[in-house]
Amino acid sequence: MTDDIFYATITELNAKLRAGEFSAVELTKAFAERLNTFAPRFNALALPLTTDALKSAKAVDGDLKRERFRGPLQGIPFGAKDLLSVANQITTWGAKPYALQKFDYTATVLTKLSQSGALLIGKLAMVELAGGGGYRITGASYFGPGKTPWNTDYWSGGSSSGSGSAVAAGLVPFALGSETSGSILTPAAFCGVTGLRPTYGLVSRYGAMALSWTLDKIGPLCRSAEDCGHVLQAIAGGDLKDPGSAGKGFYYSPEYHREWKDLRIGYAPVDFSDWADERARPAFNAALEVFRGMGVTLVESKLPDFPYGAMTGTIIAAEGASIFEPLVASGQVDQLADPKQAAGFRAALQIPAKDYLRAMRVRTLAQQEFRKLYADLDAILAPSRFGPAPNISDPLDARGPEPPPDRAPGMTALIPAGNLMGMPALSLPCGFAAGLPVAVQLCGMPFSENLLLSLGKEFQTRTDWHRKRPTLAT
Amino acid sequence: MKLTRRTVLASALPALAAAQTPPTPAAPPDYLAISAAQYKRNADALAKVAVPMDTEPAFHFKP
Repeated sequence: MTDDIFYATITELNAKLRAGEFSAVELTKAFAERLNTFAPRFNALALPLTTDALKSAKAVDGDLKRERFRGPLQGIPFGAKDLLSVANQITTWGAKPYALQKFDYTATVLTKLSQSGALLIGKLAMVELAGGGGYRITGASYFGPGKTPWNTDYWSGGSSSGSGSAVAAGLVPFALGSETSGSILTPAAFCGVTGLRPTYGLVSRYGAMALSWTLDKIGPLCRSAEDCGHVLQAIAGGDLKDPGSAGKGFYYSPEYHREWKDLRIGYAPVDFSDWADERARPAFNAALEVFRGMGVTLVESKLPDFPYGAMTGTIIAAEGASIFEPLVASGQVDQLADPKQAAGFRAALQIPAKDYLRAMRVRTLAQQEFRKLYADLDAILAPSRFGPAPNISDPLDARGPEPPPDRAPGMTALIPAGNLMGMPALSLPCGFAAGLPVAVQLCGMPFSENLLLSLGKEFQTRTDWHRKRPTLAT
Repeated sequence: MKLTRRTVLASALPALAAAQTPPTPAAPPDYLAISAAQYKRNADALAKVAVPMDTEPAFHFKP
């Protein structure tokens, strides 16, 4: 198999499988070998699952031979963030205290993908406990710092680190990640892949580690917006085992979108002129022009004025500390790689109920204002992250120079705001800065995934940033 | 003043002792205090938002 196969989209791979160009077993073997060979270079692999995948691939080949076609994911290998349980396999949550943890059940999303014929070839590394407690170093993981395949001196982003780097390096055609506040969009941006954070409640979290009951979401990292649509269709749907489930399904229908000229997309010029890293501004501005060229109406806009960082900080800390209270009580929390996280959990156990409830009530007010904002908009466009990945030796809590006090905040708080509102977002690679990928995000109202994916697909027919490949020297 | 070996040694001892004392390691950052201060700042920022009495906490996200 040529390298082209490792960077093909789900649709392309599935067409070749159906045409008999190779079997699911051959494809699985090729990807598994590549994953096991290259993933250690990026600290991306938590647990290979080659044997089970090959068994399932054999069954898929039987179905394909009998022309029992189950959809675009049939026969496609994939990886999953190691916060998702696979029955009787180790699930570490990226953290030493859970290095030998096993569950006797499988996460709903993995069961659904298996029913679609997709083949899980490995669990992928992550930031320990998805960053709970607040991490300050890229090495906050049982597996070491995640590295972007574009330059291994630089971070892959977190907390879905392995999911981002494995897709970018062509080690899996797609991967599942999770986001509480930025954990899909950030590695998608830093690794140069397409990432979709679904609406809160659209995808079941049963069998996934909880960090924040009211913020956690599971979503795909893929080669394209279209691939994200196929994966979302397979994993979305109501689940009685997830108390946060919205009870809704998702049918990917990119062909049914409104005319571009009828769409209004909000953006803040200050994001592109001032907040963005200087090196990334040409890429961000070019992306803005691509959307303008599609004929959508770009509308100057701004987020409602709320302390989004304080809200997410309080909610994640309070909910996470409650979830991991037994870890703190046992003292095993001190085995975490980043001592800041252990301290963060301990301190968060002292957050008063009134502070948590105030954050949740301010969240209600912010939701009301967002509904007003979106009455006039279909989506918001902003940089996914405002610059390329930091060096793996850089502290993540380092503050840059203070911005001028009169500078408008733009959409700099869109990641925490979008997560607090339960809104979906799609990160699209849009170029490079200092040799590292950068991306823009589209953020829409809850359950507007088809709109975001249609816009993303059109963006990707007009650009080829999602087709770029890092060089993996053998 | 006549310098004997004993007086030279006595005057040099404190300096020698200081030279042999390992430098005090920098105290590790007090992450517990840093985290607690951050949570306090969050609470202070949220306290500035006027919340009407009938506002319930957010648990549902609707289109």
